Amino acid sequence: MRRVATLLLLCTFAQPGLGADAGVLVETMKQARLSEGFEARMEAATVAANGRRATPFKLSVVGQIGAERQRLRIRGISPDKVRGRYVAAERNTDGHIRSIQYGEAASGSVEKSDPAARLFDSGLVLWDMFGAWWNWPQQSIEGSDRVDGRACTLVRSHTDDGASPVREVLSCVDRDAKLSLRTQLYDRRHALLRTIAVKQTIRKESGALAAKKLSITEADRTATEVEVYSGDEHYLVNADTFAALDSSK
Amino acid sequence: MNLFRFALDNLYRRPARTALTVSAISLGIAAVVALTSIAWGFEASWQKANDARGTDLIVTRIASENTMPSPFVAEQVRPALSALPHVQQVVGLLSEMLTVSEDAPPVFVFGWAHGSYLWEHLKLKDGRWPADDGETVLAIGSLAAEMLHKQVGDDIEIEGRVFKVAGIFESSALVENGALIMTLTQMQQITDKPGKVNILNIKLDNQATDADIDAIKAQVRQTLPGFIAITSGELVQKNAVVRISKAMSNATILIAGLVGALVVFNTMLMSINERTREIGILLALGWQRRTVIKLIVGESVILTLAGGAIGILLGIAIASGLGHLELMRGKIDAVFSLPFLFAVLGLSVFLGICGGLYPAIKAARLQPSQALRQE
Amino acid sequence: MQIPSPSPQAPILSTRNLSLHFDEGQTRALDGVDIEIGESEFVAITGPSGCGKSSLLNLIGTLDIPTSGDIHFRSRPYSALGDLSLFRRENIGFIFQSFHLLPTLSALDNVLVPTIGRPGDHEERARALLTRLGLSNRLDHFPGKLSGGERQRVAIARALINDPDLILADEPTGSLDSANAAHVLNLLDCIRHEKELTVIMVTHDASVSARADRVIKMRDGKIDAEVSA
Repeated sequence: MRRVATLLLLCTFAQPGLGADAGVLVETMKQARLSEGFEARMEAATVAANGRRATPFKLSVVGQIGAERQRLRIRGISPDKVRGRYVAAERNTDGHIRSIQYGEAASGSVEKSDPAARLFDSGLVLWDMFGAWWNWPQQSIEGSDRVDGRACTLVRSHTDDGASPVREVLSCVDRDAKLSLRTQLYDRRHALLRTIAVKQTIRKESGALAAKKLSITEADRTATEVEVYSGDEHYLVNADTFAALDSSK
Repeated sequence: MNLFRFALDNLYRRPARTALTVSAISLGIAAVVALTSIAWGFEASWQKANDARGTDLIVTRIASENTMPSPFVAEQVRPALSALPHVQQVVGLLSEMLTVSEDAPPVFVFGWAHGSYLWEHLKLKDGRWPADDGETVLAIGSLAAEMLHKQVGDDIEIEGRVFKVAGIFESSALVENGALIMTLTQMQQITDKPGKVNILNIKLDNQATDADIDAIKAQVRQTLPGFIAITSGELVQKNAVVRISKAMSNATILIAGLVGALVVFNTMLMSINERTREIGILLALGWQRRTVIKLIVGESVILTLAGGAIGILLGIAIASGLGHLELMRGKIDAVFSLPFLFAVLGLSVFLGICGGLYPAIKAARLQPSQALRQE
Repeated sequence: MQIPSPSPQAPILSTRNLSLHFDEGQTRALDGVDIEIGESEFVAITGPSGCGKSSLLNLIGTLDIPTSGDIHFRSRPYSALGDLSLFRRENIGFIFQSFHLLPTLSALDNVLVPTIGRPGDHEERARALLTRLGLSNRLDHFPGKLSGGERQRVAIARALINDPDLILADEPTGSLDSANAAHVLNLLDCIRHEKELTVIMVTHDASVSARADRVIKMRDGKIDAEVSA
């Protein structure tokens, strides 16, 4: 009885193009990302198509993901090239992402930045970290697939928003892990911009899985290998954390 | 002339086959002994780290499969713990595994509360300890100093911040020897975890008994949901890396045991088949079937005792020797247990008896005339 | 377990309707054999190969189990003897064509093998037997270092170590040259008379069977004829 009621409820509030099953899965994914404060420290290195490895760099990602407002702050840790450089961004319910970049010094300039830009010359993109596509209106289940031997459900997310750098995202979601094992991002001409593939996972407190190692492959076959080496699921966000974002409004 | 001498003569006068069997058994046993003692040494090293510090109980977040328990705000838990009976000190510790150099693997970095008892068991070899919480300095273990090629006064960059090596120490625990240690405050700063620790070390007073320890564990279970109080030995057991290592060594023991059993079984089977005629002669000469079986089982026991003893010595030599290799130095700290070695010897003999029994019974069942006909 | 003779005239060994079949009756190695052997008799069994003479010897020696029929040793049936290995050890000595010595033991130790498990010290007797057979300076040699004739003499000593009353010999001179064969047979004759042994010998050789008190001829698993010397 309850199941029928839930289904009816979803059907009532569902928007066109949203299959009932897709809706449940999308909602699960959105819930899994919610956090009052987290930090993830990762080491990333780009590998060019010819195999040349660039020097790896470390960065810290601090986030606060709520239902209404989502904020991320990225800080370069090492080497010198990235140390003390910050990129921060905020996404509101209207879907628009506002991003800035700045340095350590208090009087340093705060500049606007493009959320779709490559971070520190790598395949890491701030826009991707927001997972904005889970909020798009058009969601559908496209069947299932296997990534590295793990079964996952294919979900296609689509938007008609002309301002969005990415128009379509195809995720292969491990339902139990609440994690997309492979995420493919396409532009408005349906050209593949990049693929984010999870190589290794780690268990979170909630039991869901998070990516420990992942690989981002871009259109020119440059790969960026990322490994999360430390983290805090209960990062204490304080007044200073997003101060630059707040004052640049 | 008795059964034992007969068995001995049989083995002595077939040197090639005897040597082969004994070698195979000893290799299998050596592998078991070496691998187990290395795994135990690794486990013991973790335990030594905590024992050496003088910690009686450890309080951490309940973690399932992470190697490091997740960090928590110390002050949320410390007051409750300090109030428990027999608790003398509650000292926080924050540890992470971080890469600090491009050409070295990740190392353990510990943040210990400045002025706490945790530092007391370390032996300073060179330099000095951090003077206060504000200094961006650290002390490194002798093994870490070797691996990272650092001396007192050198710089090490950790998580984007430059630390000076203030001192080099030695610890009885392998884990600490390969680690970098700074004050807790500094560690919290560079990992952006203000006020957080992942372990609270509890030192109890001299009157605390085992029953008191159990009572504290129960109290923690009841009043601090999500937390657990365990002794250092139990922590080691929970450590995923140690558990994996133990699982691997258990698997190895199993496989080595199976292989050893098969080798003994097969060798005895083959040798019995070759000796069917000989068994026929013994039966024809009036030997009872059970005497024939006793002979063959006796030979198996001699073979497996010899193979087992040699294997144990070989295993000890390998495990100790590996620890002295340049490549492995400081990483292997094998632990040998006399009861275990006796158990291994016993197992080897048991396998030998089983391995010899089946073919022996099979052969003794034959009619003497059949056995004599075999070539 | 040594079984005494019930009376001087009673046969030491008798078989009744003794048969040995293989392959579910397809091959009949022995087909209803009735014989009697007297105490201290020397009986030779001859016949073409495959006639069943070795099978008869094996059955008498308890090295095999008959398909049907029975055997009596001094009026006691084999079926009632219980542990045949014990009976074998105390009452029967074997001599084989291919000697069947144990290559890993010295001559002396080979002779002592049947005594393992028996109480008492038999080394003195073993030495005496080997000396009697002319092997006093070969005690510590291994079979590999002994000649054919020497090996068979060791085997004879071994057959006699437990003082049996019955000796079963299967072509004992088959692997020896004529000089050694004669030597071995002479020794056997001497010892047989000394100890009043009963000897049943399977042989091809007419000169050997000529020495016997009685010759039993076999063919196709049955007794063909009996000839007394």
